[in-house]
Amino acid sequence: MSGIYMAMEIARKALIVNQVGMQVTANNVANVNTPGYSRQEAVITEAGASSYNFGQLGLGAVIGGIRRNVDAFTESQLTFESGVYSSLDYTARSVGQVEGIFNDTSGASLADRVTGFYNAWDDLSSNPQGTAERQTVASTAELLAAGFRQIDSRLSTLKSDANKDVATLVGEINQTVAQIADLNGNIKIATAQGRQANDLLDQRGVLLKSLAGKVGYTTVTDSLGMVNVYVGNGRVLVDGETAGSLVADVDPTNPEPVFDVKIRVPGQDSPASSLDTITTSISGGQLASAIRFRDGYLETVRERVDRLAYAIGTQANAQHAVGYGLAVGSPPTVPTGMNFFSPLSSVTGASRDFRVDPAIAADTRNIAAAETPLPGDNRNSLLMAGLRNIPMSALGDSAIPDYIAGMLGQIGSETRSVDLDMKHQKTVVDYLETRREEISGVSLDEEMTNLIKFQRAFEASTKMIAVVDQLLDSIIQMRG
Amino acid sequence: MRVTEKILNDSLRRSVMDNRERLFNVQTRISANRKNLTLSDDPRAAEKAAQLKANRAELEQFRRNISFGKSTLELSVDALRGVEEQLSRARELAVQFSSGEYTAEDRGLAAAEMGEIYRQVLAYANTRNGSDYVFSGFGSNTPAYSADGVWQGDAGSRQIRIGQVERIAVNAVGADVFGSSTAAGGVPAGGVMRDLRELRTALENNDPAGVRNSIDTMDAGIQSVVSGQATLGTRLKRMEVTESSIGDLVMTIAEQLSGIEDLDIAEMAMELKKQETAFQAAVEVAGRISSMTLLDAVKR
Repeated sequence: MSGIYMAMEIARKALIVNQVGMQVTANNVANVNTPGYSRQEAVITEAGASSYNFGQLGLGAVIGGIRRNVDAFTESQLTFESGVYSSLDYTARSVGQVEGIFNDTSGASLADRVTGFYNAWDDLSSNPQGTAERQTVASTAELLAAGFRQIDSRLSTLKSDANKDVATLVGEINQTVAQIADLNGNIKIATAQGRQANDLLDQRGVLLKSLAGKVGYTTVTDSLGMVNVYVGNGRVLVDGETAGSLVADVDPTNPEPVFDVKIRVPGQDSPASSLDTITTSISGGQLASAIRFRDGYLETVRERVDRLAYAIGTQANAQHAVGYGLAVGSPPTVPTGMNFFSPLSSVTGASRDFRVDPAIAADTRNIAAAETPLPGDNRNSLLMAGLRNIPMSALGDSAIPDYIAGMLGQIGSETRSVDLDMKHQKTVVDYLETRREEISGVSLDEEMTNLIKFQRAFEASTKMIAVVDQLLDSIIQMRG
Repeated sequence: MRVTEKILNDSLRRSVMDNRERLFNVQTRISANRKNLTLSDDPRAAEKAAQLKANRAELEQFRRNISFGKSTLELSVDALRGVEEQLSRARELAVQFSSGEYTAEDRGLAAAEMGEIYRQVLAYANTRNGSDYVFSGFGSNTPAYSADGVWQGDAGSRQIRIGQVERIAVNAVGADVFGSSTAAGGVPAGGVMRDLRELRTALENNDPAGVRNSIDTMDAGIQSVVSGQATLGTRLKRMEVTESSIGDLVMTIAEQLSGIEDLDIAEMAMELKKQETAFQAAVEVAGRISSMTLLDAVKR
């Protein structure tokens, strides 16, 4: 076939080609604000040619396919780095909350309470029989004890919050993973039919990115385009069309009821108790951050406070026990060998159990200001007041105020460093997002020019058909 | 580079949000009048500030100890001054009535005055600060001297802390200033109390020689009390010196703390202006850029 029928045929195909072009443009414009959408492009190719003795004549244009503009490397980098960002963001927020416990804004900081306690002993040394001075020693000690317990309970609250986050994240991960497996199935069908499922690939990309924010994973893409997902140390979470799941399970042997993360690989159907625990091998994403914060950082901070509480408590008790109080009872006896704070059994839990000994609270005459049973002896109160300046090996050879200052500085710099990491990661992600957008983003200006391009070509093709129609008409006229 | 609407929007959003954040930071600092709001704003400053504050709090406690100690010491000094006056009067009596021209009746009257002097000295020696007998040492619930003038106290030295290692005694032990009036048969065997009693007895017994002997013992008593005053005076002086040097230290710490914690208002005001300008520029540029689009050009 050649001649004017061929020209007609070419024009007809051109109409279709340009209509497709316009439809792709319309789809791009419609998805300009769709997260994860990758700009599509109608690939227009030549429709081949017929050979004649004078040479070849082209047969017009056809749609060769719809290309999705994606750079796989940028995409995977972005997925990875935004996962890292999400994890750092969680850590920065959590560590910031710990810092908030120690920020000195109220004027009732732990440091102030410690100073108040030892200063009260100084006051007592000026008037060792004074009821008011004794009362002040007891009440500043109560304040100090309450300060330790308050910090401990705030740390516990943060811990239980982080623990709840672990369970919540596990739920979210399972949902995402199930959706990924579903999409894998649909993508497999499309691939088998020889199609490229652009929208499904975009959707799965979004899900993989969201999953990276929650937990670190590795992937392997199979020949059918399905993505297999592995977490922990290479444990299968998505196997083609089937999804496994994570299980947040309370370990009954642990004195603190915290969730362990267990894995149920695809197809496994055992009860939670018999599943493998992968809590410690989880890396990346908010889940790893929550676990590390819950089991690591919080415990580190708590240990620092406990260490201080234990040192203050045991040191004060040892000094107090060798002193004498004021005579009580009839016949009068002078109390000695008494604890000032309730004895602490170990560093662990010291701030939780930090209390003024009930005997001291009940009768301030039990406060031992003296080294002898004499009522005007104030030597033990001088030693008690001076305890704050004695470097203690339990506090790394620091005296109490220096240890507290050091602890505050440490918490401050830890917060600062995760904050800087997080901000730095943000710029990395921003940069990658811009790069992805450069490649895959929709530019309305560009789409407008494309629209004009296709519109004009469509117009020209209709004109072509009109001309061929006229030619045919004149041929018919000629016969008639 | 392909610049899409999203790239423009994102960069606009970022610059506006970053600007907002910086503005907020400046504003909260100004309203709180603090350079650093959290430990992480400047961890080293936070650590240093905590040390300085603990240091200052202890120094201020030393100041408090000193002011309390000074008032206790001044009480003792006053008592010693009173005792000195009484002993001087007793010495006058001894000088006067050692001369032979006085009658037994005259000496009897003087003996009565001596009784009064003795009671006064005893009262001074048993001066109380609150419930504490200040000259009794650690056994401060017991009067330093019994009515008979027998020493009942101990050598306890009541000290206060005026530095991390420095201490200073804020009491004088009765036995040191009034002599060790230990008991012998229910009466003092030495010291000012015995000497006063002996003078009175000599007067009562109309014994000019005995009265003359008492001139020396009175002199010795006055000397002991005066030297006691001097010792306490030296301590008072030392406390005052320490107090003023603590004052200097506290000032220095306050300056250091202010350097670490206080906001430089002028600098912050400039920063605020700078951030405001940057914010306005960002918003304006954003407005212009987003109005430039092909859509307007191809409109029919």
